[in-house]
Amino acid sequence: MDDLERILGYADAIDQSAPITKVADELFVMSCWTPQFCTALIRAAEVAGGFSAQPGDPVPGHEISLALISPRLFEAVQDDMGMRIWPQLQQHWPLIDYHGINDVFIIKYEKGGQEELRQHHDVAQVSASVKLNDTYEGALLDFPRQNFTNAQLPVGSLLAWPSLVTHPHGSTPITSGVKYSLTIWFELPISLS
Amino acid sequence: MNNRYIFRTLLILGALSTLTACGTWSDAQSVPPTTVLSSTTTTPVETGISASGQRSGPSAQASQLKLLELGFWLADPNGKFDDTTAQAVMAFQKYFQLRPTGGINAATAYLLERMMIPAVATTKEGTLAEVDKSRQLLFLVQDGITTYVMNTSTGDDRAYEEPDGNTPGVMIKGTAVTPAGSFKIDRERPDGWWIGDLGQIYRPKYFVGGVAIHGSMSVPAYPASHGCVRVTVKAMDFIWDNEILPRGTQVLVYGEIN
Repeated sequence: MDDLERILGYADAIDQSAPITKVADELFVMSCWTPQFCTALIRAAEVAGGFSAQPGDPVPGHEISLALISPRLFEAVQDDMGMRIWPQLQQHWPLIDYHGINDVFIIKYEKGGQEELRQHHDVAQVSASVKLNDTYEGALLDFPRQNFTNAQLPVGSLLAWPSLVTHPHGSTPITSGVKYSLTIWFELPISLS
Repeated sequence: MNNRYIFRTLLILGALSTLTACGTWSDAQSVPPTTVLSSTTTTPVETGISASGQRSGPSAQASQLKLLELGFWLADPNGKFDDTTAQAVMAFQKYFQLRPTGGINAATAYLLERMMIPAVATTKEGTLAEVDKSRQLLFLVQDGITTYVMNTSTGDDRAYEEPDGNTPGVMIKGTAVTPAGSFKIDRERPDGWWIGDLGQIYRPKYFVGGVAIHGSMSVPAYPASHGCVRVTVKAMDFIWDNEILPRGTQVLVYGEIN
């Protein structure tokens, strides 16, 4: 199994070892991807390049969308989230409907680059973060209102929360190493008749 | 240049003049790509083509203009994300084998921004309508040139048994097939809604038996009709108003329901 098969074929990706678990108020964790797939994602993102903040972005992130790496990969992730992850979230949030993914992107944190991400909300229905590596110090995904960080979560786990109002979050300063994390914004309900 | 292209070009030019004349949007255009709704709220790019979902605004208008440029019909590139825009996005997504969500996600924005070649039907000559059952798309072709592509919903090939809308107490059994082949528009009903045996249809143009291209209040991304070729009410009005499918026009139906 090589990176090409993992990225373009979405192979060796799925980890279903841990079911959904509540870790804080309206914060849920479940296994999502294998460590091998997470590593392949990092390598693909680095090869694709383009980790940069948009000029003037008030909540800047050195990020790259999976759509830029491969629209096919974006579609595979979108399908997998709808079929595998969303039903687990519906166990706790039974009235949510799946409308696909608005964006899924990798953020890179390092000293001298993007070192932190200030507290903010997302404009989405549900947000999620997948820990792609753990060879760094600092750079905790921090939810002050819920008194929770992702420090203890294993690589490949997915953390999900309601995007607006109740779950402001940010990333604390990185102190060493390079952190890669993946963010998913699940599309808001479609309002058209 | 045929009149469809002139119409499409005028639509785009009109929208561009609106874009530059509108003070609010001109101001919005100067905002950096990943701007915010508030100082602590992230939101996708709001200028240029971006993953703006189904939100209205400058990004929606940029997408509308590009969709029209590529041949995916919508009513008005005015920045308002209406149902015809959602239909055009679905048609674009189907054409390029993306999941037809009807919203502009990152993958859709990525491809929409980069595609330069308009969508084409299989036919390279003549004036006709092509119904691709596999992709659930309707192509309008004039003099060999694909002028517009629309999202459609055809029959799903499944058996049905439903009450007859015109005869109380009677059930109708059948299979929801849109027959493949080459046909011609042989009859039509120009005005308003009609109560068919299996539901309401808008301004139908029949091409084989009771199977018609018609307007519908529901045009999902998947096959859902009893055999007819559904488009939105606004799309059907556009077809009628521009005399695109007059009686005698060929309708070519091909493909398989997946």
